[in-house]
Amino acid sequence: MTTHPGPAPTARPRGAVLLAVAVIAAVGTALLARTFARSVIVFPSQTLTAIAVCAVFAAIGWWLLRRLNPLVPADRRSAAACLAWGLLPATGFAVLANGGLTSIWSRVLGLETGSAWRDALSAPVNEELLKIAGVLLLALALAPRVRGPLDGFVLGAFAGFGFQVTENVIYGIQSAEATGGTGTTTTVVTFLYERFLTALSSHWAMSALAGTGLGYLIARRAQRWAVVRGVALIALAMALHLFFDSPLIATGPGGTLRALLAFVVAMAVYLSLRHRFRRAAADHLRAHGHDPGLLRRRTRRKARRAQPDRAARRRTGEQQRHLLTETAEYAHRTT
Amino acid sequence: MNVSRLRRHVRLPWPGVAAVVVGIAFLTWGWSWIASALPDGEPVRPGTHFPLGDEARVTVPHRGWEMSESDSTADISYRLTRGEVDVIFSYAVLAAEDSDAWAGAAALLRLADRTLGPAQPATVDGLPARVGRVSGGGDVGTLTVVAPKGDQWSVTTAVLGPPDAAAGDRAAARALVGSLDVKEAP
Repeated sequence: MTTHPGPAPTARPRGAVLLAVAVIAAVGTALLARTFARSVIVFPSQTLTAIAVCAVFAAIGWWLLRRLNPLVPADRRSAAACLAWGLLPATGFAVLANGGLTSIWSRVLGLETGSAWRDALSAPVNEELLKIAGVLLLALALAPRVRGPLDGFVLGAFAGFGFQVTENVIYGIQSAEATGGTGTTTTVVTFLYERFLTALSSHWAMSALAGTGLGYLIARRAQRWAVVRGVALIALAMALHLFFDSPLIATGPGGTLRALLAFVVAMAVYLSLRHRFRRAAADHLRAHGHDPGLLRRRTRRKARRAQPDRAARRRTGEQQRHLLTETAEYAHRTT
Repeated sequence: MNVSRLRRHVRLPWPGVAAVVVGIAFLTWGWSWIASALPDGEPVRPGTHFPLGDEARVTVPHRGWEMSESDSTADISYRLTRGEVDVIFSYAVLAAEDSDAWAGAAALLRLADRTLGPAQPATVDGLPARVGRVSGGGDVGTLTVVAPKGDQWSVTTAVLGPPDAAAGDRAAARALVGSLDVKEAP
């Protein structure tokens, strides 16, 4: 049997994979809804307050994280897909996964040690893997979306941030439950305010590190040490998560270090990736006869302003956007 | 192009997707499955103390009780089981000094699809408390809430079991609840 040439070879299977990913996401979302349906009914005002406060937090985070990608903002659809994965299915799966693993630790470690350590020993394994599973599914469904470690960092950050937002909503509702069921909307707002103080060093930073590792594993497999780097970064994300959740040095200067460590490590990795990305971008521009100074916003603006009229300025702007997109594509694939 | 040749030509990501699905399924349900194969329930010797915050403690008076490690948290809550009867002790710091601990306990029971009957006055270790009947989920029992006025904490005790639970186990549960020792406010 023969067929007409039809669509590009990758189009049909990718569409089917997207459908499969949508089904997986729907299952996770249904689990989340089932787990918290009664909380919404029993504590409606506390739930709405937590959702409203966290929606503002989510909007600010979206705006900030979109700026992580140098030169060209992160692809809106990929970023939104990873954010949505963290917001709903990853959290739905994680609630059950954590319940199962904490139960194992409680039974193995006994009451005292189990109570102190079961969360710290469960969340890093389950949550880090479930969060980057979304980035991996996106990469499988839309192959070119993870072009290298920097894409992994950014998309991992979105997935982690989505998870962080929903976790805050859940913890906000649970703050009403943990006070013997007497928590009011004020209890929820006070609790969330404290959570936001540690937001810098939370899930987004850990998942960004794990996502970077995934970026190496997906897009740099052929390179020497890429697999080791990838696995090491995912393990580092889990280790930082464990340290953050552990009962060790909870107060004093050590407590501040604990609260900030994931953020500091994530920023160090990001700045290193960004530096290599910009160097590759500058090389690319130079090789094609352009001024590497165009990587700076101010230089680009100056070049536009130097044009004689508005039409020429617009044309120059479009050329710059095209050039930056092409340069960013090259830099993503080579760093 | 021949369909089979086209299929060979395209690198299908299905093995990767299948691996992710298996991984997610293992994390989501696999741990619980492994946990269910492990023993949960440490026999408790008579005379064992379980602290509830800094304000109260339970002393197990008789043999036959087991404590579920997976449903207990040191200093905060304990689930003790004897036969078909469960006794759950919970300590909570209330949202405010004037919080209605009874209404809060009723809300938490609604989360577990159980209902709480009207409150009756009672005393626990000499302190005023409230007690009511609990039903739902195939269980019947009682709920006792101690929340001293002027303090911002409560201890809640739930005794739950099927309607036909052994009378001896119910009596042992009453003795266990009676062992609750609440420290006097300074």
